[in-house]
Amino acid sequence: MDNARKLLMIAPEKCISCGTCELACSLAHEGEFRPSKSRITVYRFEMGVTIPMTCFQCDSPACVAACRTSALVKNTESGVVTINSEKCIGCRMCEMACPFGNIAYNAVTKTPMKCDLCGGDPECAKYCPTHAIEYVPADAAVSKKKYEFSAKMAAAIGEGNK
Amino acid sequence: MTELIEITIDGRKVAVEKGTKILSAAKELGIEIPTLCHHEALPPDGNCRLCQVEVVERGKRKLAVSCMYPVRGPMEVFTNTERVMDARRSVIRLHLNRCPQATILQDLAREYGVEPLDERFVAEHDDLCIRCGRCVRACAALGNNCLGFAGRGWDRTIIPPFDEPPVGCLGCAACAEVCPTGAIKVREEGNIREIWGREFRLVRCTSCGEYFATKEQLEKVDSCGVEVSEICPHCRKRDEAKRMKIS
Amino acid sequence: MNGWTGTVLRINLTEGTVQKEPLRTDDANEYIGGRGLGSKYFMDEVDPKIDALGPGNKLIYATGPLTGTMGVSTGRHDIIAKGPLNDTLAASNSGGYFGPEIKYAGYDMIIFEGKSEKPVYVFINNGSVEIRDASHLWGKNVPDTTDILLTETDADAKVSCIGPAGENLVLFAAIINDKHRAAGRTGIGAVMGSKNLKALVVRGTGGVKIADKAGFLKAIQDGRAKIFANPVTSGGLPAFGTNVLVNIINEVGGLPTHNWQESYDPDAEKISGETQAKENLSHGKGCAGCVIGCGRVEKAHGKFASSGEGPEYETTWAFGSDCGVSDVNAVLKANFLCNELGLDTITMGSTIACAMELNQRGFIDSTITGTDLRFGNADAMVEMVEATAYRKGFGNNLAEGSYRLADSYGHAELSMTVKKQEMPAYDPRAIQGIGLEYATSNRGGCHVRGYTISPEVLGLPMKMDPATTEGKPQILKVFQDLTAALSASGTCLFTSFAIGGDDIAAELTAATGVTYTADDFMKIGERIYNLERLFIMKAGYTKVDDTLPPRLLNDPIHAGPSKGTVSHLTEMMPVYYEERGWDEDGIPTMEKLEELGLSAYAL
Repeated sequence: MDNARKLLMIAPEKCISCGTCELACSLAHEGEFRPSKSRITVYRFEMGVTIPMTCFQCDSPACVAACRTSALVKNTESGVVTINSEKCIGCRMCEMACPFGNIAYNAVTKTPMKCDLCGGDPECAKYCPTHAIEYVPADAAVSKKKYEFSAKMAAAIGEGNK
Repeated sequence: MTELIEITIDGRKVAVEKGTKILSAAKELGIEIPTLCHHEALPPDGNCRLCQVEVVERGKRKLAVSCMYPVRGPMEVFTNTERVMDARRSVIRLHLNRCPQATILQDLAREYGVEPLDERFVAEHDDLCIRCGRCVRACAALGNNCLGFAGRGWDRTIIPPFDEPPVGCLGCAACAEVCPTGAIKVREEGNIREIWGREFRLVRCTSCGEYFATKEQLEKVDSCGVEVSEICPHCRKRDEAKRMKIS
Repeated sequence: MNGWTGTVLRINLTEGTVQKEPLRTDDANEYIGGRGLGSKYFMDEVDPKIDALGPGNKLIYATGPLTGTMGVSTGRHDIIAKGPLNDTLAASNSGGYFGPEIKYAGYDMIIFEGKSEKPVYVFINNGSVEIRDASHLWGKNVPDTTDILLTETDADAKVSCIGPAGENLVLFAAIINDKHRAAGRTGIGAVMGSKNLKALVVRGTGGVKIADKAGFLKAIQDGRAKIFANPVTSGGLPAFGTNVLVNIINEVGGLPTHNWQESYDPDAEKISGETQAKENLSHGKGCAGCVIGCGRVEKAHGKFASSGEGPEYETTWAFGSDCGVSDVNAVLKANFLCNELGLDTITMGSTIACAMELNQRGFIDSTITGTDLRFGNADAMVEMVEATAYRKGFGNNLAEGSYRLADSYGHAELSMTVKKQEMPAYDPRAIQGIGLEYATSNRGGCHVRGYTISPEVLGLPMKMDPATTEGKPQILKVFQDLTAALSASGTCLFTSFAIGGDDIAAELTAATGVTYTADDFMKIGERIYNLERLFIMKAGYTKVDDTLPPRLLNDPIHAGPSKGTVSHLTEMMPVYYEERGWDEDGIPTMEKLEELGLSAYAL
């Protein structure tokens, strides 16, 4: 593989609310169709607006900063925030730290659940019927788009929306 | 460059960095050695002694606690000899003697064919603590150091300082999460979480109203340089989705 | 279990008791689930002659083994009950996200029995089941009820409920889930209302397991490839929703207009899918696990300003061409009102159209209706929708459906119904096969029991001439059987434009671990169809009822592309009976029943 990082690009305007991403994700990670344990969550609002939410693989991840046992690590090469569940002691600091609620602790398996990009072949993107989720190289154009998206988000947060 | 040393475990060769513990080396080969006190996130402590293996090193053959024993030179390791099995059985028996009701020990006893205990030794108490110290080390890893060993021999226990409700405790319950026998009890009712005799008032999510964390947990996250909100993770995700909807 | 959850929940509203029972796996293997298995349980437990609005009727929410999986558009559930509109065995199918939630909560079916003394709703939170007071919800519309319930239970729960129409026992009240998806036909919303059951709220955090992951992924990838390559499922439906049909059916000369007095609507373009996509569409939408996305989220403008989901083609037709209304905003408004109040749009629109013809012919007038029910009067149409749900004024007459309405004025022939249920949107004089479908559908006038429009108009899977009768009985039987089995599996009917029984059989086999060949699958469909047939015959229907309104048999179409044609139903009927293995009275022969394992249900 070349050193090009890849990202999940989510285009809510293309999303039809079907939740296939949740099904594909839970099948891959939990071995069954189980949206409640999916690493990606589809939020359905009025007027057909739907937002699939999953880990942003932040550049300086709060979860990693909060983790005292290095169970969570930001992989500098791939950019992915990975979990080594064997190193998790269940303190839930990551869950409390993520500003976006993108990690959930599974008390049964004693491990945090978050998007791991399926090790480089994300199932959600593979099965999304409308290409609302795509796994694309984080080249200049995409970075820019992501940046604009973040800027818009920041602006929206600034407006104090609930 | 770190020095690699080739060793043999159960007849299979593996090259590991000098200083690697035998337990880790075996894991690289996919050879499983049973453990109780070992936890990948925590420094080894060699407390439970279940992970003993037979080591042949410089012509000497001996039992070693694999989670603590470092690879310093060429050696041959055996994880399933009769001597190892005897050692494991005896360790399981001792633990079971202490905590007859611990299911993990009962399972091990079945697996290794440990004979039932003499009735005289079956304790009438429901102590599930095998004194492995995972909780002590987990709390230390979080930088809180609220737990420690006290007493010796049969009276050895794990307690907070002065056996009083621990001041530095976050109420995060990581100690309970890492406990292999479920000995540490966490009681949660309404807005109260109780652990180690200390009651924590839980923070209520400003969005959905569910109690989701202790104030101390959130402060701890804050101290890691992460700004933290009083919205539960579940609602944060939904709120984030709402914000993205607007953009 | 794999595919199925293995548990059936039984809730007795009279006693206030809740019982969990193991799924009858032998029956599950032979009827799959959904419409099939639900009807089997219903047939075994309910006397076909019971009063549909009495406590003896049952209401069964049934999912299929594929519901809640990543199968090809398999987010569907059926609701089975005896329908009060026409005493048939209703298996009303709905999409949205509700069906999968039932599975995730751990159930294949939920059976409601008896009748609660006071309004209640049921909250299922995984294993916990509570019957709760609903007096604060009674009288509230669907969106308000849904919002209140999500606040007082769990924001992630899913809600299926009735609106005022169901409470007021409107004979074509629908059950609406996820605010916008309707289990509409035959009036099962009134059954729910008769039980004083306002809503079912479900939260499930469990999962659906499958037997063979690799096999399943292979099966769905094959199926998806066909969906994505098909012009209807990958082009027309996602772009225009089912409204893509408005212009297509009009051009065939089969778009019933003015209560079926005409079959060509010169104003169709104004309400077409293309127009809606330009003027009204906000967003496309799919049900759970959908790979097509035909759902519409739309906005009406001007004095009818409103928003919501839909309309479907048949709704656009019922409130549009059938009522002579060409204001698309009025059509949308009427549709949104039906969802909010809990009404079946096809019967609602058709019943208003029937009243308009009664008015046109002078059998009723504004002194009776309290409004000017001229064809084309959009305001009156919208007003009547609300009046019907609350049974206000003339709405009380409309609430009985067009058959009872027209009959009460001595003109039952003006009700465009089969077995008292309104036929949708496709004129059998122009499209022969669909007439046979209407006449033989087990729940009366209905297009989704055997959608012959697919071959007759869309040319899928092969093109058949809509004007002829040749081959229609044969293809109809195939479509009816396929549809029954497909519905039983939890699959959306629209997949059948692109995939067949073999594809779904492959999904089912991989999901459940029970081997289904394409032949098994079709045989199951036939078994379901015959079971339903036996039910309605036991309920009192005979071959005399396998017919169409006289207008379609006797009055040639006046104008448009299909000018001069009538339905040749009588030619097709004997061939159909024979094809089905039914005797000349339309009764399944003993031989056929034995072949299908249904001899215990013989008349």
